[in-house]
Amino acid sequence: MSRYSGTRGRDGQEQSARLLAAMPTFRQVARGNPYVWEGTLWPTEISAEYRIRITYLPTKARPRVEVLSPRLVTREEGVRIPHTFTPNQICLHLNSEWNSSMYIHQTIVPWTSLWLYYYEIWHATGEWLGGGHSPGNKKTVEEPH
Amino acid sequence: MGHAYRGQRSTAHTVHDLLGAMLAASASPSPLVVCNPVNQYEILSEQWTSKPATFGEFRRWLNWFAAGWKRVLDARTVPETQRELTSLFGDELVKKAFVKQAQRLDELRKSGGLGVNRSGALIAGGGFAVRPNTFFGADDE
Repeated sequence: MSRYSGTRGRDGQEQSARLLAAMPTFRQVARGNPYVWEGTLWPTEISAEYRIRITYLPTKARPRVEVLSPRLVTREEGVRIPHTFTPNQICLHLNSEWNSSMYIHQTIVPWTSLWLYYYEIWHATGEWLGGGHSPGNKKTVEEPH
Repeated sequence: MGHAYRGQRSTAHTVHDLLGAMLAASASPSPLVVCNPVNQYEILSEQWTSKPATFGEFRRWLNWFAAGWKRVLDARTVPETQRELTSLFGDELVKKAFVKQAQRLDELRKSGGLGVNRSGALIAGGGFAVRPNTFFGADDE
């Protein structure tokens, strides 16, 4: 159970207003069912500028984050990009680490920048240095999100 | 040479400016005289005077290194930066440097000192604090 259970969830409009105020590169591209925002993140001075999409359905537990461009690529054929659901949908947190009482701009967005940084360092070194759990540990941790 | 350091905004820019000062100083036909900073009577560059060809070698190396360092500063992506650093220092050392930088960032993150600004840039001690999280996914399949 989430340690934040029982706290008030943020509706999509509130999330949207806060996200757009905090992150000037973001735009709302769909409203309601679901809410969809797109924007750019530039994790470091020598990082690529990434265009990302966040999809949020308030009735669902978690926002979905996709990297639209530049396309995420693996280091070598047959090796999966760490901490991804699909080739462009990234996995940022465990279930217990997010619920709808938390603001997306204070959680999902920073975690996405962090993921993108570690992704670039993974390409440079071959090592994922951001920690986390792999599916082999699934029984010892909570469900991924 | 000590005068080339003026509190530049980063180590990389300090190195750039020091290299510029060294290039300017070494442009003279006579070899540079380098004294031990704690004992000015000890001349560290004796060999450059006794064997001027070695000073020519040093000057060639300095030009090569300064040009490479400028390319590092001009690099705009991680792969470009890695390529230019590797040409100067070799693959192993550069990978170690990237790992060390990531470890430093991880320490900041764990101590609550890492933030993100309005462009999504990771910064120390400002912006929205990066809260604890656990990446999850198929990194071993």
